[in-house]
Amino acid sequence: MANLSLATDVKTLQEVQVNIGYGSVARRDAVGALAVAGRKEFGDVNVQNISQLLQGKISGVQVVNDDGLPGSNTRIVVRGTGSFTNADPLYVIDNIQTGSGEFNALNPNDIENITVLKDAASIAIYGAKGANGVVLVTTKRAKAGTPKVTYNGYIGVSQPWKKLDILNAAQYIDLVKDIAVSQQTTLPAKLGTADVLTDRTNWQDAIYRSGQRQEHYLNINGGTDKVTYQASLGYTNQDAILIGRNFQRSNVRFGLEEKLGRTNRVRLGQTVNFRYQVQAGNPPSFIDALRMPPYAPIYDPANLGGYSKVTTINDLNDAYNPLTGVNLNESRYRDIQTYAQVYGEVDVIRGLTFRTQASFTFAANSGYSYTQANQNGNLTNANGVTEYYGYGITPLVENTLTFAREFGGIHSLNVVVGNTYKKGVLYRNVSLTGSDFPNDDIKNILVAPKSSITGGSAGQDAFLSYFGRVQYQLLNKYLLTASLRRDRSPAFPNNPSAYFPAVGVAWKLHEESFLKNISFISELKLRASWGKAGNDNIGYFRTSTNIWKGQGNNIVYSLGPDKGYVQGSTVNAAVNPTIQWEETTQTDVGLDLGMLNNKLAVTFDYYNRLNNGLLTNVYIPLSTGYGGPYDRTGTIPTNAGSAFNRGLELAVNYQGNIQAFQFSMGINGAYNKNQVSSLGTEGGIPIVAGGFDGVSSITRTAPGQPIGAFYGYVVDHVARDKADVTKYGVDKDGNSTYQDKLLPGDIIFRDLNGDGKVDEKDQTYLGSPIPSYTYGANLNAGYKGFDFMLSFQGVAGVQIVNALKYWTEGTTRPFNSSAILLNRWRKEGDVTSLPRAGQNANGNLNLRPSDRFVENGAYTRIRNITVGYRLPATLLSKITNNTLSSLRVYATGQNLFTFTKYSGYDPEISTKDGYGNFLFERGIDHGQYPQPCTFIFGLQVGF
Amino acid sequence: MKKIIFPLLTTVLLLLTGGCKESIVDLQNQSQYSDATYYKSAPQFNEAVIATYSVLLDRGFYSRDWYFLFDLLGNEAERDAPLLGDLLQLHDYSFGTSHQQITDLWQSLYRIILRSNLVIGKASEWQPTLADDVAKKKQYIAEARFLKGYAEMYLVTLWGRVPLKPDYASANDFYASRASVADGWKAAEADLTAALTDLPVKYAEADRGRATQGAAIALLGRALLYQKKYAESAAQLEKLTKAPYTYKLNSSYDNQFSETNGASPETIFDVPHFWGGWGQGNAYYMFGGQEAWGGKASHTGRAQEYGWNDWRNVFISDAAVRSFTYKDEAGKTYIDPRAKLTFYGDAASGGDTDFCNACTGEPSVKDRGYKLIKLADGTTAYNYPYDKANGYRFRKYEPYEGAEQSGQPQSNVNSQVVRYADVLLMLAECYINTGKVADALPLINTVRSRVKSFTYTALGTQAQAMEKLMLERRLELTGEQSRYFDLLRWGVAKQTINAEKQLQIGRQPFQDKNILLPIPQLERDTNPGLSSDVQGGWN
Repeated sequence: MANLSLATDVKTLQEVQVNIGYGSVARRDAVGALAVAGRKEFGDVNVQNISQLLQGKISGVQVVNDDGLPGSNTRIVVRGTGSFTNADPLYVIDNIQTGSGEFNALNPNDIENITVLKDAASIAIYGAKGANGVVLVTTKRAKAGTPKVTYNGYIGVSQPWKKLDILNAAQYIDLVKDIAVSQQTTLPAKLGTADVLTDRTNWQDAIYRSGQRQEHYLNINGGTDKVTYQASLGYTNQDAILIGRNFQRSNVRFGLEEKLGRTNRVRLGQTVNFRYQVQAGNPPSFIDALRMPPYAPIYDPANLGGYSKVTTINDLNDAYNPLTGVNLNESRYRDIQTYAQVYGEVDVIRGLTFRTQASFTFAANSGYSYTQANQNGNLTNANGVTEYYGYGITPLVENTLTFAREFGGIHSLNVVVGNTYKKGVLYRNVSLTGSDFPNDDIKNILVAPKSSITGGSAGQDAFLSYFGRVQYQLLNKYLLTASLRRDRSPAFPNNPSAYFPAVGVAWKLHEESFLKNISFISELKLRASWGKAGNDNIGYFRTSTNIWKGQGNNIVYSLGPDKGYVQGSTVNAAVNPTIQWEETTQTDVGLDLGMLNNKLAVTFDYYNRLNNGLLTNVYIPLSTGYGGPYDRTGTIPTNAGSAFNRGLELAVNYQGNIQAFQFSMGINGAYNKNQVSSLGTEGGIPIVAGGFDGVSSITRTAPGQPIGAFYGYVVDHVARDKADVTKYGVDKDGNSTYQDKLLPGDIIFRDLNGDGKVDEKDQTYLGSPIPSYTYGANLNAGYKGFDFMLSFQGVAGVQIVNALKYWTEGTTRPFNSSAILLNRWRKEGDVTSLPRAGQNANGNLNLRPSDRFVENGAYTRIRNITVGYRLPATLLSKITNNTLSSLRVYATGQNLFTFTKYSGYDPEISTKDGYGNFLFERGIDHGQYPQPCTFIFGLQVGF
Repeated sequence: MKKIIFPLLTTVLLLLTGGCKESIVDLQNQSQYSDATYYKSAPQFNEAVIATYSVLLDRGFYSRDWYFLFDLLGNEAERDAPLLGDLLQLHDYSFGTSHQQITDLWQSLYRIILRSNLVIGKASEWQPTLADDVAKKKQYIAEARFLKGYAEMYLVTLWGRVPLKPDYASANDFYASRASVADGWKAAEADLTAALTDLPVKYAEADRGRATQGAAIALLGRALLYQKKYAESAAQLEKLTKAPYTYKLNSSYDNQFSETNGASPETIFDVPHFWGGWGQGNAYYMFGGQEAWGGKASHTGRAQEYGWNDWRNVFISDAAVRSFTYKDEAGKTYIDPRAKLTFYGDAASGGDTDFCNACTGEPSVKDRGYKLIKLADGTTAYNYPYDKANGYRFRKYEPYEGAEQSGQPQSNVNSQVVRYADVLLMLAECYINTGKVADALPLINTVRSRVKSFTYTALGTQAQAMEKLMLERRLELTGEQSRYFDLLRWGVAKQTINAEKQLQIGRQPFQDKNILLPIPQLERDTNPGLSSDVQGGWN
């Protein structure tokens, strides 16, 4: 829309009301560090979900995509990693706090702006939920007037931006032979034939594709002075860049706002958001695509299911044909969410307003995945279906009483008290499996001859808080805000309540006489704040021992002559009755500077956030016997220690024009230092985690280091020849005394402590998964009807563990691998950085945790380039006979360029599901679906 | 308007906040029971006992890892090309401290201890009044102590000094340090002794598979033997040869490794296996799906994984094959009849040269080089296609006499933990080592005559007798994960295995440190009470 009316009165920017949670203030009166991104910052572009609107737009706010599949979620990380259990901020939609599910369910087109609260004084009003920052979303409001209809739509295509260079058939066979020599393996007859030297399938090409995508969005709004209404409809359909996966989302939103009374003293509002989305199909595993032999065909009519397979017996390779699971599968995962909000607001007496608001989320999800019988790799898989059904209900009520009044132009006071509670939150779900289908005609568990329940859960939630805040302003120069919140959480039955205070001050220097005369300074404000917030995010029922019967009650043992399954039950999780609230204390000092009539605006912040009594699940020894079937070891919930995030944030915005040429620029950057300051009493030992495949661990969280810092050995070089090995010391049998099982062609690691041998004491810190620097920039320019927008975003001072290398360069066993293995060590005297093939995966050999896996994770990504043209209004109304009021066409390229040294698919790494948590196992690339590069052509029409 | 609004507002406020008492945050777990209230009556205690047994199917154990671990470490199995990755490291002892299956076994053994401590702790607080319940309480605690003793015995045997967990309360003492080997044995003996006092001699048929008094005696005898307490061990094992115990050798050696072996009078303790189909379980549950995605299943993957006509991960080792050919008392070369029952091979080796004696129809697998043959007795079979690639393969525990292929892991053949033949040989070993060589003779001959091996007329000197005993254990128990422990106990593991491996793979990979398994890296990373007490980065 009219995003390019840039040179409007810039002063209004400072007068804009910004949301601060349970109220709003004029931008210039804000005490805290908060940042707003609105339609202008978003640009007139399309994104897959709301978080991406913020990507690179706000200093100190990092948006991490879970992966590049359409419909996947994102994480917003504010000011580095705070809590150990969860880095997600609190989401508030139109003043009502809610969860990430509701947030991700909104249509990005319905968003007016997003405010991020970063400092303690601002977030403390949200108490226990605010420790990781608060994201306040304001949706578009209807405007009174005749109905206005707008349409936005686009069509586009997405493509993979990178494929890995892997070996061809002949090169692969060479590698297999080398591995066989190292491991003294007899080659199967098939690998000696000429047949396997033929390249038949490029498995990466077989799984990647160009994905179509389209989106349509229609908004109608209008109303009278007393009643406004709006309705919007959205529809998105996206194909993943990997075969088989499609994503569709439909949004419907209705909103009404009513004003009663002569002075509008009673105001009411109702909004209903409905979202329906379908994920269809399972994406193929690209790890399997990388591992498959190039000589294998895609199809094999003789094999059950019709797709080819490779086996260890015939091929020494049991990678799964990645197409089998995609093409012989039919699956749909459906999510329905209805999110309703209502509010009522009454001006009781002058200055006193009572507001009550409530929200209600009803979520229903279900899915099925039917797979035909097939043989793949070594396995014979019977036909079968898995299905799940679940629902969740979340009501929430908030009441506030606000008193706001000015006294004689000297004192200005705003007091708010309120409460908020969740009660009656419940969810239930169940998963099922069915099998022995007579044929593939009907893919429904109801016709399965055999079926059983494989899992499920049921639960409740509740929360209760009271809060109050005072904002006081003296002489329009001195600002003070103080707040207190009391929270009560089910997580700590022995310790349910906690209090969170905060205080902030600000001084508007530009209102002082000594600055009023300096004309180029239009705003100068100093801010400082201090406050506490909390975290209870450790899960419920962790203070007493629960009974464990296995997933779907599958702890069984066979007894009797028929060996029928007898049910068992036991305990599997350690408990801690003493856990309590985690506390975050944050200090913030900031400065807002406006110059040249606020054309140039600079915001600077320093913060120091200390997390005390960090709640986390600490790993406990295997010898306790505890641990779930998916855990590497048992864990215990505990307040494990403390960590701090200290950082600087800078944002510079400039907007101006040279006659008809209008432009604006925003640059933001942040520096953050994350460090663990102590580990608590529970063992008090470093938290070792991040294992992948055959590597037992690669992160270590310990005082003086960032959370989840990479840790391991340091590669020196690959032993060139026997003499090179001997040089480091050998015993009488010629075995290396320096490093276990060291042979020519193996990696020689560094003896860091100089004791003449490489052992676990020679490990060191190898990098941090938490970026030190995050930055972004946006450039908007317009000339007459043309507009141009460019945004980029990046991180620096960060490392990635390229765990995919375990497969692409590990040569643990015969799998196809990266083409750089052509340079591997093959004979005495070879000088190379890649070790010989086939020395096996092992905790203390070539594949030990080392800097071999650690890469520079810095990147700069051009997120968006858009060029648009808006038809002149007069011309348009003439041509269309007043039917259309505006028409803009645009073309956008997303993720067109990525500048990085990272050798994997994509440096934007999150934590893949099922691979542990975001804190101790962050920044490990297990083979995440890469972000696509997308071209779209769009149309915006106003009727 | 004002008049209305204030009362209205007050009412609304009261209504809205009236619903939120402080107690709204007191939630009940809707998905799981609490251990404080759950274990109150017999069916629940039974569940807790069952969950302890079920660890014997978990990672590290009899659904898969246990047989790979100890058949490879004991050089009864030798790798074939399809054996890759972490399992391959077992055949040449190249595994490190984070080896998956070794780590899993350590964890599962401790899981048995936790679960049995739960039973012992909770059931001890139970005060039943019904006679039936009183008996059950005794039985459940005894079963738990049996399993706990079993776990302690293998921990101390394989790792030496290990942390001990005396009771349920000690489950929360996370950072236990290592106890001495003597204390480890003491704990194992105490638990097995307590178990044998209270376990029933026999169960009702529906409870077949549970630990009996005989099982506890056999394991205690084994524990004492491992400590070379020969006289004490003999005292226990002798009990099993008399009333009330009715153990005797299965007249058919083959039947002892068939789907009906659970009913055999020779079985003292076994792990029952059963595949109930895809409707309730996943055939591949043994790959870490236990208690997770694997559904309900208790079968074992051995037949499929070892099977020469299936995944053929391993051969029976050349050394094992050779051992079946030895000199009889007259000095003549003799091939033990158990060769034919233990492995497939060529006629010269003594192995079975045909298979599928009970199959019907033409071979469905076309490219393995075997075909239907007529046997002398008029029945049909397929010839075992012995050649270099097929080599010598396990027949014991395999389904190939009755089926051409296994197809998927689904073996219902119970895994032997301790059987009567093993007991007789253990007892013989005790006798030999206490100078009662003559008493050992009938025991060894009993085992031999069942398979129609020639019987010894005398065992010779103590050393000669021991040699014969060692051979006998090897022949009788091949592929039953016994030999590795035998070699460790006899103190000949390094020399024996290195000599055999020299011939097989041209290397001598068994190092001194391999006498014990490595303390898992994960344990060292998480247990400060132990990590400072690990020598040579190994154990």
